[in-house]
Amino acid sequence: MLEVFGRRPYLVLLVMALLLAPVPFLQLNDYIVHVLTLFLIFAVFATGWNITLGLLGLKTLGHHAFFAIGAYASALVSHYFGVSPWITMWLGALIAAVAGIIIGFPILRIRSMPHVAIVTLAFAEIVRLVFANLKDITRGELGFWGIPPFNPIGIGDTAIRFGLGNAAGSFALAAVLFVGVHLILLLLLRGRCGLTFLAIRDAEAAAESLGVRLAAWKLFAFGISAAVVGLSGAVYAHYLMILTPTSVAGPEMLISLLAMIIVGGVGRFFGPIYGALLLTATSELLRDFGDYRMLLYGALIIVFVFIAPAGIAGLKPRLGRKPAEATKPVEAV
Amino acid sequence: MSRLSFPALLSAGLLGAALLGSPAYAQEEISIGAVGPLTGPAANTGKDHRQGLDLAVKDWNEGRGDYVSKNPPKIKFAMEDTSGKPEVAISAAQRLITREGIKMLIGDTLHSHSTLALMELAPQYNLPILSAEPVSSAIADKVLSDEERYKLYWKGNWNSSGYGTAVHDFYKWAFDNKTIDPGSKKIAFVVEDTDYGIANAEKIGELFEGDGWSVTSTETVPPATTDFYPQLSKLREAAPDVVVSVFTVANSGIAFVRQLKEQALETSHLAIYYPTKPEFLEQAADVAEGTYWAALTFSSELNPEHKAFSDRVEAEYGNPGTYSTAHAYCVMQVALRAIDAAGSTDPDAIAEQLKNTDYPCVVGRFKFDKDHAVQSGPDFIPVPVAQIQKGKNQIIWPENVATAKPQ
Amino acid sequence: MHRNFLKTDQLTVAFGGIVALSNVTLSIAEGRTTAILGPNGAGKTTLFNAIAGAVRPTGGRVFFQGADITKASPSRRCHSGIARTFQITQPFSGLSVRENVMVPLAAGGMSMKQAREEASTYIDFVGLNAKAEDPARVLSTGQRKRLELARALSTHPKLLLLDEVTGGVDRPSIPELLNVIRRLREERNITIVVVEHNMEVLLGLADDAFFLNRGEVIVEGSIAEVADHETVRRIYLGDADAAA
Repeated sequence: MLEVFGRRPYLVLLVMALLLAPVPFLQLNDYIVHVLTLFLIFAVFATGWNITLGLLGLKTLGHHAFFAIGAYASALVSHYFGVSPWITMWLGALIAAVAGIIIGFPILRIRSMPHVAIVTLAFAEIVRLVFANLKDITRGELGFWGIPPFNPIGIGDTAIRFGLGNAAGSFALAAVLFVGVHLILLLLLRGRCGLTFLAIRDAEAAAESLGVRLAAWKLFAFGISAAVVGLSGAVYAHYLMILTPTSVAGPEMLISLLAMIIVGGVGRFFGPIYGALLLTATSELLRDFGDYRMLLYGALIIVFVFIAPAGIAGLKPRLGRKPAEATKPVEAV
Repeated sequence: MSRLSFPALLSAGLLGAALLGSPAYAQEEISIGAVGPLTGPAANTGKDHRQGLDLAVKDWNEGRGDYVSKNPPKIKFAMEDTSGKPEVAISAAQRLITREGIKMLIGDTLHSHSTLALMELAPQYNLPILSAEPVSSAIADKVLSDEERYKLYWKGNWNSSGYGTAVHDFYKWAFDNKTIDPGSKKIAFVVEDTDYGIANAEKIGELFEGDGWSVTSTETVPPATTDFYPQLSKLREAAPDVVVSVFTVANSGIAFVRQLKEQALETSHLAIYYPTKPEFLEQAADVAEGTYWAALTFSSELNPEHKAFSDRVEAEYGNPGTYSTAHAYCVMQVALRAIDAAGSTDPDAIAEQLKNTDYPCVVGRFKFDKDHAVQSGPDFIPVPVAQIQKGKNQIIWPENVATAKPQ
Repeated sequence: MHRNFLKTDQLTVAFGGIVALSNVTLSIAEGRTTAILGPNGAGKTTLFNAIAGAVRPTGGRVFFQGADITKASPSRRCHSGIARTFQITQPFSGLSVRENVMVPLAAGGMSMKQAREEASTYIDFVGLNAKAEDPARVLSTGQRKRLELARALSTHPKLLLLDEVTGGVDRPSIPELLNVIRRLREERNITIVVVEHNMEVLLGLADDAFFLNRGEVIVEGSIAEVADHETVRRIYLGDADAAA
């Protein structure tokens, strides 16, 4: 598990937390704080996706559907029933988890990775179409607005406000989410769960022959992964306060997030975080280049994939690995 | 530490780079920003918007503006890309607000969903926002839901119900002057299965029903469908007097018109949107003769004013102007005149002047309604209905802009 | 001693139209080491997979200690005492040697802390202590074979299925590996079924043997009898010589 987590994962997370902590107090302009908030939300999204994609090794390409499910579920319930977003965000995560487990069932029976990819991709497309067509409830592509921001929290005389335009509060919320989710996942994945997920990834048949109950563990992984992604979707919804099916469950979301995970490092715990930071921050930093922005952005991704095929998180001294033996053997049945 | 050093250093570096970028304030000129899709699927339209906005600012700064005061302010203009995504639109707008110190935002130039997000920034940053081409009625609904909150937000295009109103009013006019026979007052729709198609069918159906008509059927097909025989055989049975079709893909429209002609249905047919595409007339001129369509909003061929504008764009940027270029140009004119008239950058004063706007521009007369959206119709921004006559487009309604009589 | 410790009854496996195993009925006695012989493509690995549950038979049954396990999942078979290794080794290459062994221990319900300590017993047994903290992907084939033994062993198997014990292992490493297998039987009284090409190795390891050809059992008996059988010599040893 060393290559997944590194030597001192808790220390790394602590360093990240310490870097984030002062940001709301630095009086930075809202633009920067907004970009950092997006980075944190997408980092949680990417980390959640990485559980099935990188740790379990399934080529699941439909996690933007769980993001949309978490976002819409939380937004709809809080809007129509007046429930506080502080509660509905968990509901969003829960509903996403249930959806994850449901889509997990057909995937259990599929051995071929291209088919897993197609099934999950199709699932996401179905979810997008459903949200687009439930016009009476979601207003379809016209956009669902009227999503309440998180209720303010009062500390002494000052109230911390959230939602668009309340940059510091929104950032603080996203940072707490980011650190909290990663801490919980570290506790979970450094133990039995992570060990079993990685065993399934590396040699599914061997793991099963050694007493690992594949079906249960895979469904569990889908549930956890979808819950994390759904939670990030809920926070996104109450932050931006507008949702359209295409913007949350469309192909662009899929591509951006996959790029973050791949550039950061598939199957490395901290990889998606570095990927999310790099891509969110550079796509904004490159604005100074005007029309060349997306060209440079694309070139950057290609360069990173070449110089760091294992992702940013994989850029570390190699652990005495012999290149000739680095390839994974496959079972011949 | 060595094992966590590289990624950690990299992330610290990026964070640092993001934090150190400092805002550039203080300029004598007034900054106006715009956000729109300069990359992604809608990049072509976004580019047109940028040209239109840019041209208006250039005219203004170089003494060719249509000024309100004697001492109009100089304007600095910057446009940022949204990639068509609402969260990126917010990033782009906040960058303009903090880095450029903009006093007014034109945005989104195209997407309604981005506009629904952007309008939240108006109360938060006390910033006047004027969207350009978005049409979604949801935006106007949102304004009406909390007028105080969105008092600084204005919508520079008419509501999506504008098409429906135009189609209805055109037919009413044609029935009244006996150009078309209403028959047994039955209307049917064949539309693509998108919000655009369905919303139009619903709005038109609603207005016709108000006049005592009945909707016999609303057939929806996936975008890019080219086989309409199942739908047409149903239509034959229902025998509607008016058929309205809505497609955004020209090929669908070409196929539909061709198959409708083959089936020789005795009905009046009105097409929405797809005849605006030049390839429609190129490929379907033989079978489309007599087809009514909406909306011929910009035509260099028929309208000398449009032609003159398009030529100016061509001279400046090397490509002809489109409706999007012209509309963006007008929206910027409206914004500049409001700032000029307000005499300051006070947001409330600018909003007040926007509200008072009554300005004839190349695409029509800009006047905002109570829902903060500019109005459409014969007296405002026309949504003209055209007819294909002798293989050419002619505007037949409203009468004040018509280039030919209906046949 | 259980005579029908493991029993297959009319076991048939077909992949599409290709019959890999046809009506194989055999019994394996408890405490003995049984060899499965046969030329390439005879169905040896398919038989293994059917016993371990990795392949669903199209017909027939599998009994283990008298219980019908035909429909049990591989993980349930593991919990009931069947363990296996693979023809082409399947290490958890991203995990260390110790973590590889912890996987079955944790799946058996042990806490991570306990599993970490307990893993040493099995790593020591197969002689991989020096490599315990290395990632499995750096191991040689022989070491991987031993790692698979350690993993299998940690499930406390009663029946151990070894597929191609010496396949791909460099010659000098073979005696050490065989020594480990012998100790399995002597010290832990594990019943072993082994697929192996090397007749020399088998003669020193197995008690009984079945000879498979084209999915059917042709010859069975003690390893010496089977090795000496005319048909076996014709089909198999000719084949093995050609391969060598």
